[in-house]
Amino acid sequence: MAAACYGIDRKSVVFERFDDELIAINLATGTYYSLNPTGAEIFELLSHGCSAEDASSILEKRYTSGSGPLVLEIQRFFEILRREGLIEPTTLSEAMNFPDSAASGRIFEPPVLSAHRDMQELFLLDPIHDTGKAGWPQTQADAEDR
Amino acid sequence: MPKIADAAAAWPPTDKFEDAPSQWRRWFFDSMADGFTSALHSEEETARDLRIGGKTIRLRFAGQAHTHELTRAFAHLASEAKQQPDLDISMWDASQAAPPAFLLKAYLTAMTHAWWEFLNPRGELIDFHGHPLMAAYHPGSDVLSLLDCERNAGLYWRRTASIPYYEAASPLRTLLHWWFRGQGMQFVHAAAVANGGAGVLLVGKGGSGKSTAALACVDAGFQYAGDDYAMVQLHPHPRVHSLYNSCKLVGDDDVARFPGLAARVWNARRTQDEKATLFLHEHWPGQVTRDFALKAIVIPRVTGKRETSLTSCRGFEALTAIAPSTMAQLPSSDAQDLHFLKELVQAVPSFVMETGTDLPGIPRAIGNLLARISE
Repeated sequence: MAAACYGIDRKSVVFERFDDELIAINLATGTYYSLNPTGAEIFELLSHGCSAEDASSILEKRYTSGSGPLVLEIQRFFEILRREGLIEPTTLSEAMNFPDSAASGRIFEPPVLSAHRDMQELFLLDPIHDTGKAGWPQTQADAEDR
Repeated sequence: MPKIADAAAAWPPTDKFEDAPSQWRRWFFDSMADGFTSALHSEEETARDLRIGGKTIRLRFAGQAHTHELTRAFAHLASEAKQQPDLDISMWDASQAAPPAFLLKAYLTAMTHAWWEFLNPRGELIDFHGHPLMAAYHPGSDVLSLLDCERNAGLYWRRTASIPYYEAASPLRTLLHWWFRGQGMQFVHAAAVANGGAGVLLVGKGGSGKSTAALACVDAGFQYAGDDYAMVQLHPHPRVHSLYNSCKLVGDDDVARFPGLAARVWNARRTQDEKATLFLHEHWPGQVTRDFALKAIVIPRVTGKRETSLTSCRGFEALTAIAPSTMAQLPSSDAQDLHFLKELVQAVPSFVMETGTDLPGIPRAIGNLLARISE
């Protein structure tokens, strides 16, 4: 059976690489994320569609393996990204067409996704942050209770 | 191609009608615009021209009732009437005229009472939003914003005649964001102050001390371009364009930190949930500027220490400070906005400012920074 392939959910997720880090915003949930350099590399591979196995074989050429098999670390990271709604299954897989990058000689650092949920209310129909309880925001439940 | 209204008149529906979704959005926009025309049957048009970022924006009101309230924040941007504005915005409210089309009346009644069924999570109208016709409703201020990107025409319709204090402090946010995107400029959530024509953006989420820092700078003689929102252009050089001369402070304690400020607060009899709001152009017109050269991005952080200090930080830190809080407040913000903000933080250096309790220390630190950058 072919390995499961994933891509970025482009309907809801926007992202930008900045130097070796990456910021991603899930516009559907209002959560934004910062990714460490390894996480950013994997996210970029995902933007072209790839499986954990694809990502692993690409990163194995760039890094010296750390404590365990890369593929397990990457599968774990995929699962985190999937739970956060950042990636979705896709049939498109272009990451393997990337030209090989030179081996860096660095040890593979586990990818890290830091989630920031302090903007959720603002993103989701609360575009004004200056009102208090008496005015906006009024939740859907509040309105239905009237 | 026949208009949807013409096609519908030839009932029953034909199977030859093309491009129905965009025609449907066009019908909605044009029908709303007809509502403004109806309002002008009973009230005279009042127009105000603004100059922002080299563009002329004409605000057209049905009558004069809310003209002052909705242009007060723009007073420093007033411009002589120009023959052909770059953007034309019609502004009125539901009390002034009923929309001519019955279906539109039914839609607006239903949508404004059960908005969660009719809007995307970010506020766009599910049935009527799609480039080049943008449509979003803000349930807090009861404002419906419509923009025809091709005709450079905006509609600003309010369900009620009352205007919340935050809307008076910063009207037309959605329309200005949408339209200026097409002009290569970006609406940002930031305070903006300058010294000698060169200045900084103060970025971060609400409560990070942007307004207090900006007012402290005004107190020291700096130019002021906003405490919450500004427009930014990157080319040929990074430049900040002021949008609003308003300033909002959370509590009485914040107001009391600036001697003489309390008497200048516009909403002195405000509710507990309202921020104290001032219109700086009415009190310090010489210090409110239309624009300035952007030299740095500063992330203020309240520390409780007495002294203010500035240290260089990674651009990524500035991007995470400005991008989510900007995009969160703008319907239809997307990858284009994020990419612009990335280019912005790449274009100028970024700093973290540990804001001290000694207020004059804030403009001193920013002034020293600007002098250092200019060397």
